[in-house]
Amino acid sequence: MLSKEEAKLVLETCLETGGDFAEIFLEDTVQNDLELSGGKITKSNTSLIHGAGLRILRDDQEVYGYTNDTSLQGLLTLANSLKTGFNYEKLNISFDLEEVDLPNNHLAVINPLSLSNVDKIKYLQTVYETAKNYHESITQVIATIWEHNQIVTIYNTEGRIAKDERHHVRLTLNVVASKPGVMQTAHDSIGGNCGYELFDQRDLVAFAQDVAQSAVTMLEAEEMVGQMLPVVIHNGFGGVILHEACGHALEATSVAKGLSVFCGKLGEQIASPIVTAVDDGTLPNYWGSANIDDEGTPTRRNVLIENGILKSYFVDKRNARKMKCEITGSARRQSYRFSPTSRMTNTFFVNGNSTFEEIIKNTEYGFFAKRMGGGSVNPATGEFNFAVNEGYMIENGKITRPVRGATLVGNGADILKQIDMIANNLSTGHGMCGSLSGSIPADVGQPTIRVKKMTVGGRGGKK
Amino acid sequence: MNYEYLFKRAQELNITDIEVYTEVKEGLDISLFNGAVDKNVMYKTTGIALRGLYNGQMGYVSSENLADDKIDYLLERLIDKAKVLTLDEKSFIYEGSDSYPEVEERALTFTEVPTWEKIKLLQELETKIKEKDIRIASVANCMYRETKVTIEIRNSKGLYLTKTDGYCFIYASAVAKDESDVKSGSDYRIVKDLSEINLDRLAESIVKRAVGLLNATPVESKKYPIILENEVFADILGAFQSMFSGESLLKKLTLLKDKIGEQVANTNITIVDDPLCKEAHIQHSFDDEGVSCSRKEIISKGVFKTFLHNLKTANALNTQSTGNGFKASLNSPVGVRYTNLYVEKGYSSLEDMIKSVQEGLLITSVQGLHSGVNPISGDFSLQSSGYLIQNGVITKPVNLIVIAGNFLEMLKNVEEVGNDLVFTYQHIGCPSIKISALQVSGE
Repeated sequence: MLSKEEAKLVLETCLETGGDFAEIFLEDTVQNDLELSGGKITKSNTSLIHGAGLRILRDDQEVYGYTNDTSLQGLLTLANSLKTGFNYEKLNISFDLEEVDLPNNHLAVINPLSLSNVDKIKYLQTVYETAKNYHESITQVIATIWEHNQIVTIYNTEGRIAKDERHHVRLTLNVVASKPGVMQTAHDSIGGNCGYELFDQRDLVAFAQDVAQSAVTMLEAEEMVGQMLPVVIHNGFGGVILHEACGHALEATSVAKGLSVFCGKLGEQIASPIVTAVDDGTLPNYWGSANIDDEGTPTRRNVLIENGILKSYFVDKRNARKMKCEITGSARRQSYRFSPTSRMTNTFFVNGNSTFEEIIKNTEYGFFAKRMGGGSVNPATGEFNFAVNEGYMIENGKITRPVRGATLVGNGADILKQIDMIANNLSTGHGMCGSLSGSIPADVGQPTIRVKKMTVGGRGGKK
Repeated sequence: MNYEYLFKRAQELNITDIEVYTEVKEGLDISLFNGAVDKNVMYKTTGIALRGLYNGQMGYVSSENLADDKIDYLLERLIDKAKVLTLDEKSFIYEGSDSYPEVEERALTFTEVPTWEKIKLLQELETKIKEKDIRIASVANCMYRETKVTIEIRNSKGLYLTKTDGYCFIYASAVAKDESDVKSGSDYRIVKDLSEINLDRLAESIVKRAVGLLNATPVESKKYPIILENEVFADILGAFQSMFSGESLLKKLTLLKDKIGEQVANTNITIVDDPLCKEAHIQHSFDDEGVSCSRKEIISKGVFKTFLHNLKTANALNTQSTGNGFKASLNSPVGVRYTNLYVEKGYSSLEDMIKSVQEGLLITSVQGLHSGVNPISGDFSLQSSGYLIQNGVITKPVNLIVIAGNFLEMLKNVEEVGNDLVFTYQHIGCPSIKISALQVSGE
């Protein structure tokens, strides 16, 4: 652990060549993985992640470096090679380091580091047995627990020392159902910035049954016929489209460079007037929450879109200098190996006025994307694609037959304008979001929404 | 770290065999935006991964904290992990192969080039891209990345192996704009010596990929003959490579189960895993378990020959390790991974393949590989872009379409194999191929 004086010495060394801001990010993490597959514990790993990242800014120019030699000597060596990135007159910056005192809003009641492996495995066994015994067509079940117990300390030349203790736990269930020549997978997860109490609070049996049912149902489904039609996207993980196709385009990393379709659109109507979208890193114990972001700023609730009007971007310290605007408390990074940048935390559409039943009833002919898979988006154009893991046709206002292999294709900016119904059943799903500053836990969410028209790809023959 | 103490302490704690895998990584990561340095990251990290046999189970721990006072804690964690494992398959610490193939050493000259020259190289690339076509609106990403990795494996059976390798990677993506549309395109090169890069040709390729797709539109939904450009085929092969893994076989998660000796692809398809391939970016003399590496054909003239194995999967399936025991990262256990996986090239040029198509598509890019493919069933459904071919000539750019099919069925329907084999950054090499038909969803 660095003393205040040592941290100050490292930061002052960073500023010797004209930097106007410097930061130390110290991390100590214990990561645990457990996997139950085919009735056996097939994986059990522990990793100690330990290191420091140093950052120097001058205006919007940045140099970053990292090492796992966190001794004073190791950090000074890094600071001395990093500072060669600038060649200016030293500025007159003086500071004293003071620790900021913040309440912990994301307590882990059952601390993962104090629970035995035997107790952890019981949760895996519950979901494993439930899914395995759900139906004879289920041939493979894999249940995993991933834990990331991270302690971070951030020191910067604004005089701030900020600490956070985070316990990310996630239980994931993968189910394979098969019949001759066809295999169908389904998966889902439960996760939070909390302790193992999360798995006591949730009905793990119902969770496992739901995943198993999805695989069994989709096994018998016919192939989706590619076409353009109204699409109803279900709540929870359905919010992945908002996350991928709109959220990433609101990150300062693409806005500050003029690469986003939403550049210069603050205050403008970018979505249908029934759409309000929020990113909230303060929600207690949510998967994407934390007490502070990875620059040491307290997290907050940011309204991104209000009644269709663009209200805010995601902004970190460096990009705030470029964009001349406020930081939003959402600078994040996977580990000390990454320089922090603007990222999402828990991002979702807020509830609308319709019910789920009304949306289905009002859809004469359409596609119901019940369970979304992953997807990707081209940030320059906003074009996206998402796999649908569980989908159904809607005919005469009723959900009729399941269809497999469907892919949603479109453009983020267009889709926002095409949303014409929003239900009142908001829920979230838990993903790992990959971007410039690494892979981080992020919640995606929404109530059930309807998009007037969208291209759905599939392997089925022509309609 | 005091290895002597580590081995001694492990023995005292009844860890029968123990292995230390050390990885030292050094690198530089620079990117430009509008001519100025946007990202400038330097690093040096050292990490160790320990694995040891306790009661017949292999416990794993890894650490970036190399203080000697962590040794006891790490060994205790290792035992704690091994205690809960209930794997049937036996794990091994390996005493070493009789001999190891020699890998031609290539000097990593890039490590001697000063940072400012690398920045200058990127600035030149950016300028060239902007000068090639007035429709280039910006260079979204222009980056240089170098890594040098040294690996050491030492174990209580007396094995000691070490290797150092590395390369640099130069990449740029450009955004093209005209009155009615915006598109992006990118390309990269991987080299060990910076003088091997032809900046002009790299810039030309990037510009072509961006500008070429301007005003692309979907095509009518139906089946089309398809040409997959080499890198696209490599991306798709990469998404399905786990079907060749002995681990997938053990977990019964591969369609190739029970297919050894069967015709699974057209006779013009041969897929090779060659750790020593000279055209590839990295060569391997041994894998992460210390097993000697060698070339093998996975699919030979369409016939499925072998899965890839590490010591554990080989033993469980009563066969020999193929020298494919690799870790995905320092803190993951030894799994099964290809070394340099490639499809042997054929005789047709891409131009000739295009000429042979009446009405079809040339696919130059696919997206969504992490979600639109199912490596277990072989099904894929991928957002794609490329060009429409009519009467042997490219007539218009195409995008927002989805190509869908099954990987093994597709390999059976390969009509022609190109002569343009190229290795991607994922160490997968493919030529372009022509497929008789795939389902396309568009309008």
